[in-house]
Amino acid sequence: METRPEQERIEARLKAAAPELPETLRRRVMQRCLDEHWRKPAKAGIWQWRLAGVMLAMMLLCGGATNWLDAQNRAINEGRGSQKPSIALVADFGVLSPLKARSKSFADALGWRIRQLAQLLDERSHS
Amino acid sequence: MSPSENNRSHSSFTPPKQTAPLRIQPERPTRRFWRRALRSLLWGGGVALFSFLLINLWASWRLHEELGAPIRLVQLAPPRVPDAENAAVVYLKAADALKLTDSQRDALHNDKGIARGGEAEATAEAMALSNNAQAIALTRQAAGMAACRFPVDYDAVNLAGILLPHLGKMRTLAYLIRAEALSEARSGHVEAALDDVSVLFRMSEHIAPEPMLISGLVAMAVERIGCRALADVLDTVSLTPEQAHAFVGRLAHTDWVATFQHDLDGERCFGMWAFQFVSNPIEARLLESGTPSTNIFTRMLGVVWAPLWKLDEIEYLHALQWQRAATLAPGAPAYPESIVTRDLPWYAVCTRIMLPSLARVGLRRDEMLVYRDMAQVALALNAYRTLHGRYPSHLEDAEALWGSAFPRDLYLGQPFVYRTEGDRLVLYSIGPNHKDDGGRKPPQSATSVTEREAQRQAALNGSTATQYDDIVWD
Repeated sequence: METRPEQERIEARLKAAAPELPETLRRRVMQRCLDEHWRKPAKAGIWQWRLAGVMLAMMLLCGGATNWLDAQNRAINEGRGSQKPSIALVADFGVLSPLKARSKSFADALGWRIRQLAQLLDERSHS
Repeated sequence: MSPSENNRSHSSFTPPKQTAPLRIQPERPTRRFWRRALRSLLWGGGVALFSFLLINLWASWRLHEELGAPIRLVQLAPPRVPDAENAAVVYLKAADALKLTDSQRDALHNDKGIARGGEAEATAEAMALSNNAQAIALTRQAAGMAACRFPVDYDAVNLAGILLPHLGKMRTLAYLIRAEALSEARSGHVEAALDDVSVLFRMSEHIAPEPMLISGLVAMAVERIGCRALADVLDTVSLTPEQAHAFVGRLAHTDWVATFQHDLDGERCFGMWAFQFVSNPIEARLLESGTPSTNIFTRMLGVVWAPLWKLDEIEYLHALQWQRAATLAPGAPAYPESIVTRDLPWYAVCTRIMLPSLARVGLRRDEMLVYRDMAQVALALNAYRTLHGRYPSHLEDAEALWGSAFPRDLYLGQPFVYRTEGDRLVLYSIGPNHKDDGGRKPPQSATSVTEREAQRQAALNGSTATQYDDIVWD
């Protein structure tokens, strides 16, 4: 927002900095200064838009993750799907301490799957 | 740029003919207000939406952590049986063949039984038996079959709409068989009477595998009818020790602890289905009233309510798990029913509707275990009476004759309380309050509606273990 004192302040600074500047040129420079000053809020607005963009992206992520989790939960509620789906993969990093206990069974399951795969490959190589 | 070029550019500058006014317009206050209001609104809405999505994600994650193994009601149901081998088909035929008037039905359902009922009741029962010979024969035939699966659609889309008409029919058939057993006993046909009592136990075993608490309760009720029939038969006839020993193997074999657990799994399926079938308290209320319906408004409410609905399901699972842990062990101390719902948060609307009250079911399950143990003791006492012409003075005398140790009372592990009153046998367990009440039963054993209501209120107020709660063999 612009005010008269702001205009006077710019004019005074301009006169002090370049007293030999012709009046018309000084007014054009002043206009440019004022235009720049007007753009300040717009520049500040860029950060707001950036923040809004980040929030929107996080909202989309949250929505997607919730939707995925809800689909898993719905499957369990309706008696379909596996007991603990691929979320155990995330849990197995050991970062999430409440899920540590489950990681062992996941490791067992993974070991079983690897053994099964090895057996399959072995059978194929023999055939 | 060189100084000469700079001078040239200065010299080439031509000032405008008329100086334009500087465009400095302070923003109007009203416009500023609306701009700020709109900006605040957008940011506030964005932050609120963002927070809602975060909470929703957190609730989904928590629910995901709490959900156990996926299981469907149909997976818990008894295996399918061909009609030719299915006892249920014969039971239903027997139920269709029933010809009972209201007075006859009331007389059969009388808890006092033929031996203690009035003359009018005895006449009504005799009429009922003579009119229903075919139903009795079919029930005996069904009880002799190995497999049983009643026609229940466990795979229905709307589990709340599942009908269980066979349970009431089985109870009526059980009362009829009990009357028949007593009639046989009074006619001196001991083996036939014992066969009919055994039929009652097999009927109970046929209902018990159904994965629903209500079926479990009816199965217990039918076994209880069998125990009452056995008590009345033993009052009337005298068994040799061999007959008594042989009949121990024909008592009901249902593992009530496993059945209870199985029924709880079924309840869990039912509850989780309900949380999936409806999505907000309004739909839950409609489902409770038997008219499940959705429209755009309830769906919109479901979207807004989603995080609370997930937290509600978590509360349901926790409460069910807590009750399961509290009641699964036989003889576990009773807890007031109100304790489960008292600590539920305000948003747990569906939990309040769906959560079964397991305290009383647990007590009933324990009662059945006690009755089965007391049946063995009663058979031994009857055999003693056959040999000595009277009941023993002490339980140990019958135990010595019986040849093996009597089962102990489930509560405190003491022997059952035993005494004789004239030529009558008094045998009872001290019950869940662990106190000998002199053989006085709780009011629930009475048929009075007011007594039942009084006890229900007492239970709601936090005193499930009533003043008198001895479990009496009668």
